[in-house]
Amino acid sequence: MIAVRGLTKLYGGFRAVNGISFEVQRGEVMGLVGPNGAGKTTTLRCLAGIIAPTSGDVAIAGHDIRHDPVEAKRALAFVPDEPHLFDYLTVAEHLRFIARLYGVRDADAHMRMLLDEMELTGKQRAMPGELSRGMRQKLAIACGLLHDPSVLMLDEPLTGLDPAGMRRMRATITNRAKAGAAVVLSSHLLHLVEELCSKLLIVRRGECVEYGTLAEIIARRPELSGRSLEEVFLALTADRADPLPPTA
Amino acid sequence: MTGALAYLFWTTSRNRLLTQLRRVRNPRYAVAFAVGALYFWWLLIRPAALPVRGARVLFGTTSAALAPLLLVVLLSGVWLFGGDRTALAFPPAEVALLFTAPITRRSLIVYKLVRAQLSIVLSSIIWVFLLRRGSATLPGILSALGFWVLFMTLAFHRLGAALVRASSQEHGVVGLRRNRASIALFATIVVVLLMQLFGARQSLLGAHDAGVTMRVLATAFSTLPARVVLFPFSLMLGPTYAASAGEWTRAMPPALAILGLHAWWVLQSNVRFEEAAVEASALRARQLERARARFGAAPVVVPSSGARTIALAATGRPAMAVVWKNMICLLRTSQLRQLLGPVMIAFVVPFAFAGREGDAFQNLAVIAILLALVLLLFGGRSIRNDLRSDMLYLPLLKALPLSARDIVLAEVASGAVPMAAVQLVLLALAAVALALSRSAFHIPLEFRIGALVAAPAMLLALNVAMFTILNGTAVLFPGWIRLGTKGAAGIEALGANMIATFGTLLLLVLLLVVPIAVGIGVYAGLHAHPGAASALSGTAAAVVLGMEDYFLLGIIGRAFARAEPTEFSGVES
Repeated sequence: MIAVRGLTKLYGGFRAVNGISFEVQRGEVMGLVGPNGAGKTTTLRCLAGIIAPTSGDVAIAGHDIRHDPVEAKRALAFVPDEPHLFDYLTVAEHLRFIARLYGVRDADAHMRMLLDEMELTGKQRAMPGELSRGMRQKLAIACGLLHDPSVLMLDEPLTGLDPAGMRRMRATITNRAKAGAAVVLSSHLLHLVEELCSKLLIVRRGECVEYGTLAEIIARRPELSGRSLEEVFLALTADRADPLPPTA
Repeated sequence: MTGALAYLFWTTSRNRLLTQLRRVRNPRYAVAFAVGALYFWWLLIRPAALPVRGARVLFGTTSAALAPLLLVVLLSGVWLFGGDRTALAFPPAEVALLFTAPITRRSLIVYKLVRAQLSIVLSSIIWVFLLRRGSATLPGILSALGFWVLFMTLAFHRLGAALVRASSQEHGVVGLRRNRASIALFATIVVVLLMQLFGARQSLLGAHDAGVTMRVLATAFSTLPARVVLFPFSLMLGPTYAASAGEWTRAMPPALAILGLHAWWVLQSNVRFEEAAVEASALRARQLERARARFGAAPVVVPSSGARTIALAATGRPAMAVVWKNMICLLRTSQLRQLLGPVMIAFVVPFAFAGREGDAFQNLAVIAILLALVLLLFGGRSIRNDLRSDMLYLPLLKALPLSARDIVLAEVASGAVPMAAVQLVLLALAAVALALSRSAFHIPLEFRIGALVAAPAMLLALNVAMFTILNGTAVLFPGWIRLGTKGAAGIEALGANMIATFGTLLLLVLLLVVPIAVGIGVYAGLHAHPGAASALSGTAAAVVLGMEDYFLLGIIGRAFARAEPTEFSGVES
């Protein structure tokens, strides 16, 4: 579903992403983790066709994002960390806008279901300015899910959500993956990543540090055996090698 | 003021200046700065050619007598109608960081006044330049000091009034009682002046022009008791009206004493103003957005406009969703008034100002044509429901399953189509009015019908050209125009705006060269049949311009495909 080969993005002389390669198959959830400024959002933006890679190939559902961007984008949904909503469209109008763009069949039924799922049912006529941060995030997620994408990219999807919203979002991600979607989840909430993701891509300073399942990563790094994901993450991404605490 | 606040003031001022200087090092901003500076020179400093009439009027004897009254009227708005709720406004970062910090309220007020110095000093200098002809005998520095004292006193007064309001909001009747001396004093002044005005009503009703009315008012307010209550305000204005250094020296001590009294009044206050300040800050943010919308900077949602909507079919061309979104934007923002306002003006003004001998229909036709022309040339700068607003949503737009060219076309159509429709209504109005007019100003009916037939295509092609250029500026040269409500301020921003306006018009003229030549050729070939000639020449010109538009849209589409969010938001991770 997602195939990335040698993805590189330069900003002038600065390498934001440097030669990253990975694949995400149907039903897989891949966790994209790394410290601040590691290149996670840039990677996701390249995958979503928002910015053009300097070099490398990105294929979404078999469509090259550079040569066939419209078909690639039709298959994917990108939910950014900061919800981008139009100030002058109501909640329902945002969904109607997306429905028309993606040609969603039976849009009204889909919209009702999603509004219910995201607890926005009473807010259809509300403007984004009248919504809380969490509700705006839920609306952005609903917009992403409306066309039933086969590739789902989520950048810090739990930001601003209440505990019930977080639980529902976790279930949504799992259900979408079970239904056959390929999911990329970027988050600093490592317990969430550990819970949901079947494999990991750990990046640091734009480069891939490790890629694979947690078991595969630990197999390649025996010194990390018995460590939690948080400890593995810290050990792999730290600028200086702090000694690891003894295992329990 | 605590050391931290002094540090904040110093670093903020220094960094702002350095940022602007750094920006001017870029050739693009340097050119814009030069143009902006030239404009200021032309407006304020250029020798000899300045119109002096305004200054003379402002410094005439009658105006000098009425100036204290004007101050009272200005301040009445503050006291009676709460018109100065933003006097306590702080920027959001200061609300978040300073209001929660262990800083006294007095320190915050002093900080606010110190921070206001930049605009007060600048205003004083501008007024000196603007009015220097009215008091040419007074050295500029003394005149500037006079204005500074006046503006500082007004700043203290606004702040003091806002604190009284905050106190009464917090404590209700108790708060009003606490400030009863201030409220009673101002109420007395207003009542006395109203009584004086009532006494002069017969003379005012008999006044037959504005000059006489002014003189009657000046006489009325120069007599007792109005003269007494206006005396402190006259003292505030004394240094600004001084004609010589000696007069200024005599006028300054009382003006400084009033400034000192105001300072004491404000600084001895210990009102809990934080809540009022938070409200005022939000109000100021909204006012700023609306002001920018009024001057065509960005669409701002009109409150409680969510009910009006436009239906959107669930299926069809996906790009129409972008047009639909932008039409909703037009419907729900202050831009709708800017679009429909000219039509209302064309209807109302000719009939309101037509005399008995005047021909209202002829006036209507002329005004409608002029407004259509103005809308064509400058309307695109105020209707911005296109990429000039949407470039700030670039990540969202670029993730949509639409080609870059389709997005640009949809964005351009969102502004061009309604604008062309309004211009068409104005031209149709002009045609009907000309038919009803008694005037000798006559255009053959056949020609008029031909022109009206060609008008939709011509207006559409012209507006698409104009909006394509404006959208192209947003994509290709984002630094030259304001995107959304965000953008640079200062002399270079003014210069950039002037260059963008000039460049847009120049490009439009260049685009029109070939279509006009084709139109003239077709008209020359068919001139024996004026109706067919006007219809076909206009349509041919529109078709050629349409082809140029198509070519231009392709270029901008490719540029849009290459555009990256960092260029438009400055945020990347």
